[in-house]
Amino acid sequence: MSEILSEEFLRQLEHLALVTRRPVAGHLRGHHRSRRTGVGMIFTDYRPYSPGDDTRNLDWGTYMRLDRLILRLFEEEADLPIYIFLDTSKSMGVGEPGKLEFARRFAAALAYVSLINHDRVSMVAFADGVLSEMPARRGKNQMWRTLHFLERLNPDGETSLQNAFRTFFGARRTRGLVIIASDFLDRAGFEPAFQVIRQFGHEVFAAHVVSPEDREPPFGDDVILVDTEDGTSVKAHLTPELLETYRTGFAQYCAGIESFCRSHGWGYLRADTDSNFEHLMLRALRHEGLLR
Amino acid sequence: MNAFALSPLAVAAALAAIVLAVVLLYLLQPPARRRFVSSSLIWERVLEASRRVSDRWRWWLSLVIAGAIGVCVVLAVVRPGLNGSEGSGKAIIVVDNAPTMATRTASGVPRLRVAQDRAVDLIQSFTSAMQVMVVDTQRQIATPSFESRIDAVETVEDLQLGREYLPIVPSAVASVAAEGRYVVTDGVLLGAPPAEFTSISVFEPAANLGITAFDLQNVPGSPAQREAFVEVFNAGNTDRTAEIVVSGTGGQEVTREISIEANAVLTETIDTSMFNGGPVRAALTSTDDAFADDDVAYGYLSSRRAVRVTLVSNSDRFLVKSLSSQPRVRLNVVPPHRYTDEFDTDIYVFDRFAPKSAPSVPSLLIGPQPASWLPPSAGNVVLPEVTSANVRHPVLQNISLRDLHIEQGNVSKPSADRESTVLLHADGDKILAIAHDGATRWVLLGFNSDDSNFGLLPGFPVFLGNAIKWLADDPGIVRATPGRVTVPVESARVFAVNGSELPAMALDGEVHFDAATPGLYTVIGKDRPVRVAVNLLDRRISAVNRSALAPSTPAGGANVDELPIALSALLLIIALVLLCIEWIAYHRRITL
Repeated sequence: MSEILSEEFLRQLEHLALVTRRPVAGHLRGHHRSRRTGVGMIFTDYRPYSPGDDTRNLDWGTYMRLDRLILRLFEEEADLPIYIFLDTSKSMGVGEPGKLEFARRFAAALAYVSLINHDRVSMVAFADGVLSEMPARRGKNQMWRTLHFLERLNPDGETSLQNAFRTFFGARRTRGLVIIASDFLDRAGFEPAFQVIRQFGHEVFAAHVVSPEDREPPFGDDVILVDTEDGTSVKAHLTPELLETYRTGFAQYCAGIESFCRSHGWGYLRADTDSNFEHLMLRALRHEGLLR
Repeated sequence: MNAFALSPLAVAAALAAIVLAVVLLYLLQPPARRRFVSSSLIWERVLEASRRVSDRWRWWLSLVIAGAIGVCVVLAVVRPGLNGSEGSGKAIIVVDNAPTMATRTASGVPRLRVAQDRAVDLIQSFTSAMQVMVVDTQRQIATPSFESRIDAVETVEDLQLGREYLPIVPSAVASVAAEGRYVVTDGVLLGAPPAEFTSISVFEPAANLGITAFDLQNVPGSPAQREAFVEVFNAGNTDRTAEIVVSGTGGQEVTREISIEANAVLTETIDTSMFNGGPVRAALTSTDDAFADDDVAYGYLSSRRAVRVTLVSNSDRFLVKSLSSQPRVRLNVVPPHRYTDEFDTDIYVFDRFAPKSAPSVPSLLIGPQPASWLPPSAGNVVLPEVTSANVRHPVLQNISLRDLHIEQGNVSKPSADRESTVLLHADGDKILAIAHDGATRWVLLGFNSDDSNFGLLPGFPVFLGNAIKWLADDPGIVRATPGRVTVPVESARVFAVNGSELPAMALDGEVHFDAATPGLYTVIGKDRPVRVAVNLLDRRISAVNRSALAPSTPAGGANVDELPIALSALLLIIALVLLCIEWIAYHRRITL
């Protein structure tokens, strides 16, 4: 584990937990509010007693006053299904440090936080579809399997967010929190893919992994820009003006993703690979409301 | 500018050069480096948005600039010319190759070489479409014609020095339509060129001492003594000292130191009595002499000094005494009945006798009897009147025949023999004396001393001396100047003094050969050998400083019209500026 996350950082993560803005739909007991009523600590409502109800929840004070059996209802705390999508397309291998490496650490940290909070964590590696999937894991002791899954990932293939989401969510999945770590460089665009997730009612947190090379192209003069994913090339004469235009275009692209996420109540974090990872996890994610 | 005056080949070459320049400019662009990016998605969007001008427009702009650079460079190199539309595209260049053009200049090369270089520079400054006619003043180019610049340069380079001391600019050349007419000359022998010609002077002052006269003669009154006469001309502008060295083939050599003022002539007489005979060379040894051809002269000294004479006579004491008194004569007297053609003698003198067959050595016949090998007799005449005498013949030179009185004599009939020369004519085409210049010479005198007063005249000993000299000595030397030499000898071979044979052409009883340098040449035909002394003994040629033109400047060709060099430089500058513009435009992505 120390190769991805340090022991000290893990200890700091143990004090954190993932937060959802809506009640979860977990089937197992957990620490998250759910729409179901049952055993819990938070009172939600009353209803008439029906035979078979748990008599421990009868409101005996009401019975004394009204002579009717009224049952107290509580919010049931459920676990949180967390789907961590990790982009392993070829474009994630670009940059120094690599975007995939950064995303791997990011996923590992969130998985750790989730597992220690008894959430169900599913891990999905995708490119132009679902490449590999780690079934839902729960409990801290599953962290080793999670890390083992992450370590086997290598950048390969083109990016197709829509295919990956359609493939994964085509199977029945409990609504939960979808965390996507990707550079979102999809020729088909990110909007159709996000619409797929939105149709299934998941809460989404988009971690936009950006390498310095994507943000600030270091090269100048005449270049043939080769797309690492599909091999297409385009000749460009890189003048300062053009580079500035690119920076603006890239910022607009990032802003477009963020704007989409915000407009749908999703979380968005731009994760620059050259930024401090611990700071990003402890502060930025807290600020974005993913962790508390 | 007349770019369209280029030949089709030149146009094709120019177009090829332009294409080459464009390709080179294209290749000058650094190759694009391949860079891998995460995705070209954003780049494509950015590039699509940033293309303010279309790629096609940029491509055309780049091509136009590159083409303009190519055109400028090609025009600068080819220089198609400025005057093509207003002229005929023709020029005439006259190159002076007179003998004085051999004068060495300060740079060490002859004036002709400088003239050739100036002419070549001039030709190369013309437009490529210009037709050039090259003419020389020595008529080496028999049929001048307009030709391309390249051919004209070859023609100029092929020109050699001529030997004519009267070079001319052919008058026909002046009437040929041409844009420019130029004469490249030193102005010495040619003088100032005609008015319609632009002169290009290659004249430089030069120091020159030259032999302008050289002769070898016996001393009058002392035939055994011989002298060389040498005339030296200082054509330079400073006083000079030099040595005259007269040398013979026997190792004899006489050196005379002379001092001569500027533009002055000095004559020297040098005793050559000790010379054995044969070729004699006179040479001037001086430093810094710029014209070498007149520093040497050749002559020929007759080798025979004593003459063995056999007098065949019945004791004519007067004739014996007269012959004995000749300084070179070793006399032997034999009566006619003892005569055989076996005597060891140089010449025979037959007195009132003629052998039946021609003797093997030259002979003087005085009042002989008729013989088959002699001209047929026309009979005896009494008191013939000498009507004419060929006093230009060597036998009768320096003899006065005014008081000659002949009582009777035998006259000969006119003969068609081309080798015989009539010396004395009498009345009615009667011939009293004949000189035969055949394989064996003889002189026939139709009267003897007893029948005339010839023996009493002062000219009689001179006549004997002349006759002995003409009969016994080698034939007179032929004098000529370097160049084409003509000798009146039929079917002869020509040899230089070193024994090498020269190509010769026999034509109409004469032999012609080219003597490029001064020297002594021997022409051998059926008759006795003829010595030809070829010398540049001409004060007009030696006067290499008497030019009608001003000295040339090292830059040369100053009188030529302004050449389009400046235009070429301007075109090159424009090309450079365009190259810079292309470079800037390329880096600003205005062009591809």
